[in-house]
Amino acid sequence: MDTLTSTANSMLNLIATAAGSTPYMMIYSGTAPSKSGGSYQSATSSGATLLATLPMSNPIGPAASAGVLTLSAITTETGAYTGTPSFFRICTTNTDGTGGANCIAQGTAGVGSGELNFSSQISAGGNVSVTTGMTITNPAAS
Amino acid sequence: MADSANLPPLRIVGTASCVGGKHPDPPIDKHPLLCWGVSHPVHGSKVFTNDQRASVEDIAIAACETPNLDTLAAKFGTTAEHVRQAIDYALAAKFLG
Repeated sequence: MDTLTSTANSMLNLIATAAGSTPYMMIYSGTAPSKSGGSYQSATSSGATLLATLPMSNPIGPAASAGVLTLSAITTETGAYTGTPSFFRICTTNTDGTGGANCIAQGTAGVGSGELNFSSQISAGGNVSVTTGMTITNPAAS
Repeated sequence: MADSANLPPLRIVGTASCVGGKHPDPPIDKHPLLCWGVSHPVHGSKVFTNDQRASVEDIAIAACETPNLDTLAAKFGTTAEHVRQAIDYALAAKFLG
């Protein structure tokens, strides 16, 4: 099924709204917890390790266009632990909250793979940078 | 006829990098006379000789002034083999160049 492009844009803009005014990108190693009852679970519930916490822009991006939400700049931060990133979350604050309540989106990550594709593993104390121009596309617009 | 329709999942594309940071500590399994010991609230754990006579760090510093295994062993009250392994580890950890 597909939708009008304007409808697809509205869906993406809801993600930006849900991210709130102090959004963070949290990057983890380990197994990503699955959703339960339509809600995310705490990342620690699956034994994941939080490698880095990066502040995002407010809003996370300008209004979606042509079914694409392009994220604005994400602040470079130092890694807290050394590890291979396996998934990331967009949260409304710098913790994913009890039961993952602050998490509004989750994607895959990896070294040379994943929706967020890293050039190398994250090192404790090393700078973690997300390249400007990360996109979320709603294929329903096509 | 199906009574529901699914929207396609969102696609996310991004790239990221990590530069610098703490070099991982080399494993000590090739140095059976060494062990991790004493967790310090500021400086963290260190690798020691397993007879607890000296840390690798202390032996590495002393080795710069006294490049003799037996003399260093006598100084720290341990064996020359303990000192040899400590220096070998110090080289692997890049305490010594």
